[in-house]
Amino acid sequence: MQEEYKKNIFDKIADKLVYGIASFISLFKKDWKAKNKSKMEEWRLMLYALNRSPPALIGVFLVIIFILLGIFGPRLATWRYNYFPSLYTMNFTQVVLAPPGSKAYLEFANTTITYPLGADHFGRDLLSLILSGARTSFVVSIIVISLGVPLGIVLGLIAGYKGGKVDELLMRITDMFLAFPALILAIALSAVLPERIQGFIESHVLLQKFVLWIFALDTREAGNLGRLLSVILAMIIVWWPVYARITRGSTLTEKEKLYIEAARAIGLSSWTIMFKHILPNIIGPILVYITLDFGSVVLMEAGLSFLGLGATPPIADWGRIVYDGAQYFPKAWWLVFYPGLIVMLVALGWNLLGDGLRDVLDPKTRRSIEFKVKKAKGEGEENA
Amino acid sequence: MPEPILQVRDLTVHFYTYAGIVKAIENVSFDVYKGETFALVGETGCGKSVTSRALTQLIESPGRIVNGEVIYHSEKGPIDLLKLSEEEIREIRGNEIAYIFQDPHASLDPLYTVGYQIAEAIEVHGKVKNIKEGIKKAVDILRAVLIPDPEKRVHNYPHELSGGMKQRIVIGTGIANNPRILIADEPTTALDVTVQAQILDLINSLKEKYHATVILITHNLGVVAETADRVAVMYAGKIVEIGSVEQIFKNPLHPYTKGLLKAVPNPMTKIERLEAIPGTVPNLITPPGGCRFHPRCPYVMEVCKKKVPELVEIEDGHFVACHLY
Amino acid sequence: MAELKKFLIRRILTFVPTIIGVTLIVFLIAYVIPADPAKAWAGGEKASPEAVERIKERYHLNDPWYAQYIFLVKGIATNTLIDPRTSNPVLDDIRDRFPVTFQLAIIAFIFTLIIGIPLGLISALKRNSIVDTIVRIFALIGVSTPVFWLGYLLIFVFFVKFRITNLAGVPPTPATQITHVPIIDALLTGEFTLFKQHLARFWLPGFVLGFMGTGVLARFVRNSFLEAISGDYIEFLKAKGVPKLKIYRHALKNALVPIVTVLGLQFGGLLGGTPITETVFALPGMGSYAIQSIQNLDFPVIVAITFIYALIYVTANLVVDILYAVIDPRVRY
Repeated sequence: MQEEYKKNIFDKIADKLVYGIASFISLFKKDWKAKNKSKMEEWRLMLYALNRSPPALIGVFLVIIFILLGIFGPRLATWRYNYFPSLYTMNFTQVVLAPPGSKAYLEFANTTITYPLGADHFGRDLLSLILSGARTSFVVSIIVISLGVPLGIVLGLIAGYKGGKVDELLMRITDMFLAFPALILAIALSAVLPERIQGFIESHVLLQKFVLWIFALDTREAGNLGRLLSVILAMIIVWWPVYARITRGSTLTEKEKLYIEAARAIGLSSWTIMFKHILPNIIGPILVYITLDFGSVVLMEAGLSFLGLGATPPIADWGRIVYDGAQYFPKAWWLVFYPGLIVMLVALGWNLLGDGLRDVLDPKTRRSIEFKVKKAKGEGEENA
Repeated sequence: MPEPILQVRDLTVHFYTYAGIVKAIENVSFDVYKGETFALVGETGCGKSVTSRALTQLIESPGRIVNGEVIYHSEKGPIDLLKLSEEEIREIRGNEIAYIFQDPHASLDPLYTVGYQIAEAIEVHGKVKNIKEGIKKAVDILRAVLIPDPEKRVHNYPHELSGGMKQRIVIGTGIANNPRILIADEPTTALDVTVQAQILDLINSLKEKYHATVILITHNLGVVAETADRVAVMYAGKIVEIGSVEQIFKNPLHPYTKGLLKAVPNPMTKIERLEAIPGTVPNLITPPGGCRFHPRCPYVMEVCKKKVPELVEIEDGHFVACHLY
Repeated sequence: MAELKKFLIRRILTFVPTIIGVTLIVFLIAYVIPADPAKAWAGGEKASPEAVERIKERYHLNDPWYAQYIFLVKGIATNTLIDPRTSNPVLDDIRDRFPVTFQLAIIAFIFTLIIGIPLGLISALKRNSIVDTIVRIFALIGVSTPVFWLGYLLIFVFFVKFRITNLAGVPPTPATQITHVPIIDALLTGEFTLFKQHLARFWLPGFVLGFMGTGVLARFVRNSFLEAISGDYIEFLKAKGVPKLKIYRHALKNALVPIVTVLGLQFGGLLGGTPITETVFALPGMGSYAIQSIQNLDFPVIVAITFIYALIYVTANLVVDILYAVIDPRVRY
């Protein structure tokens, strides 16, 4: 109860982080830092609160690992995803489905390959595949969240704020999408979309190059992009309705509040009210959902590619590795176990973080920590 | 000499929160006499409700009754209510000592009919065999609390009734077992002004009809003057003055009581203008030492800051806790 | 009760536009299908242009969109949509597979309920204890575990190591069909050996599918129960002298209102998980059939299955709303 509050290493990182973000904003908006002292203080307290919860810290740790793997994974991989050792040896049995810890000499390439986590049915190194696959998972989740969520939020804001016929129409459309179990709709869409998307991407060379670049793929994979992108599009289509629902709900309660009435009375435009006044006040719980949904996107993407939708070999993808490896289960158990494990750890990381954020944003739990922090600070200032 | 029905001695309740120990009430002592209406008055947060709930151990975690005794003179003899087991006190609650809560909108379970809820109160004390029989009795009770068309109303859900109606149901639940003591915690605060008088009249007439003793908790001095026989004034978790209505309103002794009477229209004497009491209610985690009212008191002396004043009898039945006397 | 009846009628009326909306989306899915599969259905690259043309005509692929929509809806409604691969009406093929999926979802749902609700109540009653923390972590692990991974892991434990489950084929359906869910029919008609066979085949996939929702449900039950028990009416019940167990009953009934809503959503999640579970456990249900159809570019089947899934889900939500109204008199307006 009365434990002494002391800044730990994470709190110091939090201080630096908040300061860094504030300085960054100040680059664009002058005096931002001076004007928003209390906001910075609030952010700092939130991060301190997060630091008090070990599960949340584990979450942060896992998420950071995921982000780092997402960015640097393809570089960290010893072997490219499309390097097939079985092509460089006559002795297939030493590379194909090689168990974890084994080594093989590729006589045609005059090189030795080690398999810390085993090999797949092409003799590819599973560890390298998992590292390269991190990029796929990472990019897919970023794109789905950064397109699907804002779409839902904007539509929800409009529906909730404008009300009337606009609300009715938007919500009926939302309901139509929500009438499907999410994964089923995503399966159907990823099944029918690839061909058209493939056509589209082939006629836009620059876009194609960009997509290949963000997924860290070789040019020869251009023919497989349609299926990968269709899974992304399918998930965006599945994702926005939930956010439209949530945002509309909070907008409805928020717009009845006095300060919105005041804003309307002084003649602010609807857009200003919606985005500058309502949105910042309802974003807290939505942020929690977003964090949790990063995990859900990773899971759903893995699930879809486990069903053979989305990324096609040789593109490295966690779900796809399991799909191809399952035929050799239980003999080549590592092809199922390790990719599944990493999917779980990533999803767990986001979920732990989201759960921690929920506590931080909950006034009840937060105040108890703020209280401790403030008390400790008061004492600290007296000493100084 | 009137016969006491409830004797409260040194009742102390603390709440253990993360911010510290909230000393909600400390060493509260008073007597309630058979057949009277006893009013407990004070500002919001002064510990009135906590006191009333502590009488039958209705204090939830993180709160705890730290000290004190509540002697209840039942028909079988005196008992200390705070020493009873959970089951023993349960048999007294709602049966011999019943409550009416402040907010009728929140006091009723939204998923059950009002008839069921009254019947349940009777059934759990074994006065009827089952709920069905209880609902028959509930019809009579609804009639007693002046609800029109009671045969139909017993089958209504709370959301189908108005605030005043709901409070009548809550009162009906309270009197369902002919309690000897009825504790009414701000029974009119959540209601429209027009309904308030009706509800008070109802409580008064029911008190006469059933020969009950009423403990009325309120911050409204008008209500006190109209309905109470005796009054205890609470400030920051302590009782500062006890006396008859006459004594309190005509001859207030404690500076807080005086201030309170100047701050609201006094129903018994005419005053020129209303005055606010300077300062704010103290924080109960670190209450002021000595007399808790001393930071706001216009007659403050050195001794007030150091010594806690005891309740002393100034005139017959008129007690005050102040170093001035 | 009259109110309840009115509510039901109104709620069932809103069922219709939802179904129309569902068919619209299903149609959109069908509409983006490129025309090329016609060639595949007609027999691949070697197909004669006439055969391709005939197929295009038969599936109205050259018609304007509204004609295609009407063709599709009519085809599903009258079961005249023919699967180009098997030449059977699509719904006939689905009907054979539906009981497997439905049975799987039901068993998973039962697992979710019988584990999730007691766990939630325990962690509410022992709030902030170790049990509570364990349930919280269990919930987080539950939502983070890929269904396919858990499936293979448990196959390894229960099938490869201990052989206490069956993974091949599907036991026959009982002779007399009442509910068309084999395991329930077997129980109802007293064919206990058959019941046992079904249970042996389905308990593991059911558990795997239900696992994800169990912890979430437990957390939700916990929070709803705590919210209900902190209500003012609970304190008034105490003041009335109502015994503890009866107070818990009041709290539970109040907590049930939000729980029922979440159960509806969870059923949707279970349905969504069936394709993966069926694939892992080689169950011949609708989900794995849909996946096969995708591989064969058998689009009418995909369209029809998507529709059937939505139909089940929408019906489940209807049931939830009705339950909701039965429990809570306030929503009957």
